[in-house]
Amino acid sequence: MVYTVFYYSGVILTKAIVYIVSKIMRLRRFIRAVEREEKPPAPSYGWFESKTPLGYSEITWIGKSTSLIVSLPQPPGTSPVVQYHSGKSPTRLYFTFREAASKEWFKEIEELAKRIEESEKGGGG
Amino acid sequence: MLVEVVLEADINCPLCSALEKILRRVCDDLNIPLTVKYAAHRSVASYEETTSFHTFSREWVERHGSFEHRVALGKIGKVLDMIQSAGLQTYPNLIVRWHDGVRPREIVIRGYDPRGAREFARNLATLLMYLKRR
Repeated sequence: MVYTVFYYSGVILTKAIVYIVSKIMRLRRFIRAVEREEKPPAPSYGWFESKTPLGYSEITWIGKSTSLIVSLPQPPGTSPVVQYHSGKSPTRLYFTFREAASKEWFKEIEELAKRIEESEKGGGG
Repeated sequence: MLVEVVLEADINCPLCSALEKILRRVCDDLNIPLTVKYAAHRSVASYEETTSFHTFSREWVERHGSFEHRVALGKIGKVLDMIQSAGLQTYPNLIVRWHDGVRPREIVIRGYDPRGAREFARNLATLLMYLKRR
């Protein structure tokens, strides 16, 4: 008799605990629905920025109702990608992988940049 | 500031693909454009002016090299001339390019070693973050 009382009281207690925990978990699992941003469809005609196999950027016109495709070289200074052929040649700093992975890499960059600036001043360009 | 990362790679180079994974992760985190150029000998890019091999030339060492490099030039000068005449190319080459308003500037890193990958990724992320916020 005593055992059955303990047994049933234990069952009731565990059921109560499980019910409370499941309620809490459900509350926590509640996720708000995020509204989807509707993107406008990609344009199929008009002006497009493209690149030649040599790396130069171009502006290409693709017609709406005609099959006309005209590509023009892009004026310098308008593209976000820095071009090789526009203006002055780039100044380059060369490093090996070990130098780049070392802790003193940034010091080396500063030193090399200073040295190149001095040599440019000395060379007049 | 406009920053761009270019990887000059070869198709049959396992180190290039390993480096590309690291670069993709770093550049995606910082929202910086990454382009991979497969500059094989047959491609068009092999006829471009490459940034890869200028360090292995007499002119570069005489102009920008340190004192130790210039001392060593007497021994390895002939080898450098041979490399320049043969037109060999090394892979992978990583180019970090930005524009400071006057002219484009570039940092070129040659080679890749998986043992120092973590330190390299940390340094590169720091550099790109600095250049982007500048």
